[in-house]
Amino acid sequence: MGNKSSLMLQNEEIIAIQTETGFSPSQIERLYSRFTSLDKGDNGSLSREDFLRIPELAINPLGDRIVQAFFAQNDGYEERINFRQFMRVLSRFRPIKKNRENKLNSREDKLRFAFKMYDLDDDQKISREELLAVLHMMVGSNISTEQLSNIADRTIMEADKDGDQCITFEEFCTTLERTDVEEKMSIRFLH
Amino acid sequence: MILGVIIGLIMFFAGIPDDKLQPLTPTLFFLYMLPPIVMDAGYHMPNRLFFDNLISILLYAVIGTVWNALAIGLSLYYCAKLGIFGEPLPLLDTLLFSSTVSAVDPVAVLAIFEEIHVNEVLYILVFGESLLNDAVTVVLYHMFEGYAEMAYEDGIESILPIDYFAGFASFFVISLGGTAMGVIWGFLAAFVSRFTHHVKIIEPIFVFVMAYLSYLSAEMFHLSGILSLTFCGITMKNYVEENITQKSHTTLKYAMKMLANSSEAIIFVFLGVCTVNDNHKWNTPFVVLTIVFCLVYRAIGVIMLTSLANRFRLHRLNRVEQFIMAYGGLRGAVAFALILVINGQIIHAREMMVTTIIAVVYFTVFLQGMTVGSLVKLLNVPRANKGELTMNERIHTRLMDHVMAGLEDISGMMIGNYKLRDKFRHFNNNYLRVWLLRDSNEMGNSSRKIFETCSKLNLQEALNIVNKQNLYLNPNSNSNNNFLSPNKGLSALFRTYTQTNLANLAADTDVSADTSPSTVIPVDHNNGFNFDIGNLAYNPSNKDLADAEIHHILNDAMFKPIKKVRRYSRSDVLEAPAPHPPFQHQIRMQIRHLVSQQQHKHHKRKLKKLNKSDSNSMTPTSPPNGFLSVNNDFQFNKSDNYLKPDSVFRSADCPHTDSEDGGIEFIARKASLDSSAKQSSDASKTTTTTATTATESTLPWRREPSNPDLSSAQVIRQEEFPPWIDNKDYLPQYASPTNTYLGKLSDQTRPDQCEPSLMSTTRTPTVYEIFTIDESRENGDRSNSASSQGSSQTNKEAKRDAQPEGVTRGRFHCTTASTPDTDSQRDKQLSPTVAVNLGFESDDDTDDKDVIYKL
Repeated sequence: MGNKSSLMLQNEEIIAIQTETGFSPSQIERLYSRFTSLDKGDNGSLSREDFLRIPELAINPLGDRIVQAFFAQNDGYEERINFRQFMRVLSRFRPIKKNRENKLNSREDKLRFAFKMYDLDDDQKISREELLAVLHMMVGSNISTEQLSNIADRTIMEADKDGDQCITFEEFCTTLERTDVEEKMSIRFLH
Repeated sequence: MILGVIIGLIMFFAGIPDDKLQPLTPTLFFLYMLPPIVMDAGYHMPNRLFFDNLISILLYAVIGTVWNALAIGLSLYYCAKLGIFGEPLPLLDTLLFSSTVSAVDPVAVLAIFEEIHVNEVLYILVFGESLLNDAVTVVLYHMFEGYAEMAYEDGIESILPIDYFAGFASFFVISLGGTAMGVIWGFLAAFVSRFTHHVKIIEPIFVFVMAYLSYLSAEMFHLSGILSLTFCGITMKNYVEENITQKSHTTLKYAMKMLANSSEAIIFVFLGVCTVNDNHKWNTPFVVLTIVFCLVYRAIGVIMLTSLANRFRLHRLNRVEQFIMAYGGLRGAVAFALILVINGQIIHAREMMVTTIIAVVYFTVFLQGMTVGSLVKLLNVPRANKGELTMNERIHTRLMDHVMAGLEDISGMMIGNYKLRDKFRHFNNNYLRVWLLRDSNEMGNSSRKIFETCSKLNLQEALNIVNKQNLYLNPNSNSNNNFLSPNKGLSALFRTYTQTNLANLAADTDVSADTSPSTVIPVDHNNGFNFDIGNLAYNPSNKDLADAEIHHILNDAMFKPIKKVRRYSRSDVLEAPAPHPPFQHQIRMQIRHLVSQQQHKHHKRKLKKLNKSDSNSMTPTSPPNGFLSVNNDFQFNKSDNYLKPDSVFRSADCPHTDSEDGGIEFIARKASLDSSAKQSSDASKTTTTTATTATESTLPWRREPSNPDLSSAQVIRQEEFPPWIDNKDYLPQYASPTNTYLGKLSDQTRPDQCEPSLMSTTRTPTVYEIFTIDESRENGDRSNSASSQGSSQTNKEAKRDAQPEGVTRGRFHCTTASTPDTDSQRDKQLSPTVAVNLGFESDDDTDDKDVIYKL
């Protein structure tokens, strides 16, 4: 399958993607084969259902949101994404290399992606409700609503510097200063 | 180790025969010394880190150790062949020796690396390697020993190729079998711990016994006991921690640490003892070459394997980290114990090997171990960032885990850490936890961590508020602001505190109270002459307020004292220690007080009837509610005192010219009996009689009605109170900070005024009575007086503990002496209240008016 799919991928396209995302050609080919295997309808683009068909993603508490993030392209939501867009999202999770140029995968890009996981309404703020929703997804029914809202309150209070009861992106970054985001939000894509 | 050397010297010169000089027998070491150390390491292994780096660790532990053993062994063999050592060494002997010396020792590594706090990846790599390669070493050692035995008995030719293959296969059987055995025992231990909560005393014992059993059973089947024990610890940790009680957990933790540390110490002592004896055979080239080979091959191995591991690792190990890893290859007790076990008949060069091992251990532990810390500093190795994770970090990290797991799915990674972890978590939550945990429905492991972090931070924040508010005292702000800020802090404080238990809380305040006197006094200095008595009144910090609250709660919930009939005579009052001679003003106040008492008596009788009907209709409240309502009640009182001067004026209006002398009997205490009920009955009246400001409307006296039941509701909880509550011994040493506090105050006011003296006299009970009785005469202020009476009485009681007291005790009473901290804060908190009342009172009397305003 890998051979066949890489045949379908034009050389110029590989180079274009490479320059845009920084993936190596072999990585691009490997991911393209993954892309086509996900693409059940063989129409060169992925729909939401294609993503949700992945069994592990179905049990992932945040699976929905993650899929959503793929479709949020260029300030708009699209019904289907093509390989180019698919790669653009994935490129955020390339590990940062010190000596090379880092496109799309800087620390801020990674943080931005995590931030968007919370920020549903795209107002560049995590409100209490948004945080609660994510918390609820993650810890599920194990913790009572009261405790959850307590946690949410506390989290916001902790991060909130300007007192607007929301976590802005800047505040979000500040709270994660100590965390090794570069490492945590990277995947070693196989060559 | 040095101690061991000393002991060894003593024994050596005492002429103790040699056969007694070998205290460390293999059975002793492997059955008793090693298990505690390994168990401690396994149980306290940071699971996540360990499994994140498992592949790298295995790489280093297995391949690295085998490489080291073979390389050192072969090198020594060829050196021996070249005749450097002056005596022939067969290949098997050198291999046997090298297999013991190649293993990095967990004991030494743990001791050294725990101190220098390198970053956690580095730590887990070295430490994990040292743990796992013990198994490899033991396997290699037994393998070579077996070959050596065969060679000794039947000659080298008898070893068939199948034996080599068997040795290789046995390695996998031993290590994997040991791991499996450990996991099985771990689950078994977790399962058992599910039922041991009935027998709390032996709960920790179960854990130890199960772990030890895993070790023994693995050894019984000739599997690796070390691996078994390590994985047993790793497996059961999560489940056991949730199943057993907190106390058992603490016991377990410390007992384990203690056992491990003592084993460690004993091993080093033995090592020292063995240093000094006759049997040494120092072969300089052998020793030097061994050390050199150890260092060189370790360095080569690390560099080779790291370059391999870096291809798969996300976090690439740089040169510095590689260097520390290579340098941190400390040899220790395991190598020493293994070499002691060697049969001297089979291996002829045993003495030389023992000597060499001791030299190697000394070299690595002392020289390398001592320098590695400074090297870490010198090379600027990233240190571990210490400190608890914040709430945000926890949640966001969790989010990232999920996101990455999802992305690994999407990008089609076959094996990814996140994916595996997610799957394990799923499996764990669905199956394992159901079987292994007592309350499997509670919450997931990681959710629990989130929650724990939350409550921990809550508590910390509560303390922070307390400390901050201590400093945040703005004397020039107007009364409302000044009142509101502590109020807000208080409610936040109590909201957070209700989650923790009372004992905790008392302990916390105990600590923070120590600093309070020093922090309050400087504020007085800042004020200079612009001292406003109103502000002073609300200067008590949140901590003070909280302490007072806690004190009241404790009082409420404690055993009711045996009611002694005590009587206060006038002489008692005068005997009370007064820092100043009685001023004219003071005397006048006393007279006033006597007068008001008379009236108060009458008033109270009426109230009693009222209360009885009231309290009957109350429904009991649960302790937490009671806790809150006390808080509200308290705030309410404060607000009443502070915000509603009108009512206080009215109370001051009451006739005090009536100089009827009723004898000083502190009848106010009787009033406090009913005070709680009074509050509820008068709460509505209070609101109507006074103008409702914005502040007041926010004040929660709708919850007042629950007050009368506080005492009954909270008596149940008395077991929770810390033992010091009952400690009367605190009292004699107790010195009230009020003196200093008020002394400062009087220093700053003009000497010709009598108000300072009045302030200082607030320590004596007399003055309290004045305002309390005055106010309680007024309908609208009864709730106010209730609490102030309570506090005044407890205060008084603390002061005059040895003196006989009159009249039955009130609601806020307790037989036990108050502890110093609550006492001190109560003083501080109370005296301003008194000051306000007096101030307003005298404001009404025209002759005192100027005094107030000058103040």
